[in-house]
Amino acid sequence: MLHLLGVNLPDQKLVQYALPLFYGIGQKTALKVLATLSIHKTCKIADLSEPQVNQLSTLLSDMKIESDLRKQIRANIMHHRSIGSYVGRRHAMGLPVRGQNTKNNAKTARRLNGRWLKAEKREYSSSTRSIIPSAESPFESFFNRKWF
Amino acid sequence: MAHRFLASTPLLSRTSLSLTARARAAVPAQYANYVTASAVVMAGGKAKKAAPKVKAQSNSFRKKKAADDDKGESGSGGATRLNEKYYKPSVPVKVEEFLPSTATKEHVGQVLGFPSTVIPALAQTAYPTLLSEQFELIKPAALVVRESTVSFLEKVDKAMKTPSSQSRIVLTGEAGSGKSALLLQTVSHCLSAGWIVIYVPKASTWMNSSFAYNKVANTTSFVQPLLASNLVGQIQNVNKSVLDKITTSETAMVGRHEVEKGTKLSALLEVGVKDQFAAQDVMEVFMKEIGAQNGIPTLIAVDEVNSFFRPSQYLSQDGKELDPEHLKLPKLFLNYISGKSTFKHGAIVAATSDTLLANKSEVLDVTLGVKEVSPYKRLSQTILPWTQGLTSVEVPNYTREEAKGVFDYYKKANIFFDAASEPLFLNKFITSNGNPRKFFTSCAKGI
Repeated sequence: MLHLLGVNLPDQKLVQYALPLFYGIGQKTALKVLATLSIHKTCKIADLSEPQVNQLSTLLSDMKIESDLRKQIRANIMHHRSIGSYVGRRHAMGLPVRGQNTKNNAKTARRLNGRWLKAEKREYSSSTRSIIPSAESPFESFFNRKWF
Repeated sequence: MAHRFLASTPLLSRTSLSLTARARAAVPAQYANYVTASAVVMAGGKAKKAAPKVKAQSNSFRKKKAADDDKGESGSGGATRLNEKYYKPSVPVKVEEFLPSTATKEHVGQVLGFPSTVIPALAQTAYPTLLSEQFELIKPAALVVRESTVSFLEKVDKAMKTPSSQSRIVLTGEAGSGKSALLLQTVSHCLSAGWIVIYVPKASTWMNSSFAYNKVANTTSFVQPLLASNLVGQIQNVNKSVLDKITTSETAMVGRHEVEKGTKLSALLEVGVKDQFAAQDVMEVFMKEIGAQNGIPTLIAVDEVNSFFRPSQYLSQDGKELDPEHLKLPKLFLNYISGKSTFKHGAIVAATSDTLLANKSEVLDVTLGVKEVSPYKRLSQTILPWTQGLTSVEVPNYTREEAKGVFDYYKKANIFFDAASEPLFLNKFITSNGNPRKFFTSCAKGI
């Protein structure tokens, strides 16, 4: 089990399919990484040599993955919220953001949208709430309540 | 007229009995006690089936049962074990040896086995995939002498005293027509005749990104150290006796080692076996040395050669697929196949393969005249120059005489579920159109 940048990579997995276990790396980026480091497609994690592991870790630390990427996404959505845009409001309400119909079929949005803001709220949920000013105006927090 | 034959033979009873029942019925009395591994498994499986199965619903995809109860009867464990549900276990057949003296017109239609001196050499490299199935079923490994074999081996014998750049032959033909088999016979013939033989049974494994590769500094080329080392070891084992007679003509630097002038070639190859990072240099020096001497001719035999004439599955550092000329070991072979480098005495014989769609090379098919493509279609200009000057030899399907010889051989090996007779032979020959592979599957599996 190779432990790299906070993620456990199982030894018997092909490198090509182990790299997408990082948040921010998918199939295409994984192949690009393999190509850059001249690793063959049937190479397993256990077959990687020490210098190759070091090269891999250097390359991955230069890319925006894991916590850095999550912070960026959260910051983007918080920006919409703080300027009071429509996009920000839809994220907060957990509804579709990009103009989709909500009469029927908004299931994915209801399930997934707004999780970035909840994470933000959870982070600042304890004593720091009173110190950090709320991004919402007083009337906004009244109108954005989902149920009364 | 044909239907009367069908009615009289047991062929019609095929649908009434299951395959396993027919197999059991067809086994002669003296083999009644023949215990197969699958019979043991079946007995165990039946005992397990008697107890009521209570399976908890498992949601885990990752859990894999070590022994699947339902499929306990299918004995095929690994790639080499044949499924006894489909194949009838065969009887070993006594065959004569396939020697230069027996590869003549008089022996056309006879099935001859590989000589005892050649078999250990052929065991170093694997047999081509689908042929190895046939050799697994009927032991010892043997192939029929065909008219095309005789004429082709005459050609190869003529090439013995000429440079290899004048005899670069590619075997073509439809799928299953006997290209790999003819190549195997050529390899066997040359080994018996004392040539140096470099046999590559699966060139596709060189190009499908299954071996590690490293970039050579300051060039666009890549080296495959482990592959080169394996190849060096194979060549050494196949040509042990012959290589002791040749020595290097000058001092050479291979990797970190220095090889002095006058070292035996077997010692040179040993360096490549022990140090995989020197193996590529060892191959290059080796090919140069055997090409420079004119005592012993050399044969390069490559199967699945179409994978050398299309982009490989390796990626360059830009993420683009590598052409074979950027991989050092395939390029070394391509030099000889295209005639850029030559042996003083020898021949290059290659066979195409239709096995995998991923290996198909349009450029090669068009250059050899096997396929016609629109003149507006742009063929790869980097690969096209490597295909110039190749001669194509087409391998036909069985003639009636050859097919009869093979049928008699299968009859002796007792692989038929139905009684082997002339009408059965006609049936098999006509339905398979004489295609060797289809003829074999129709005889062995009854389909």
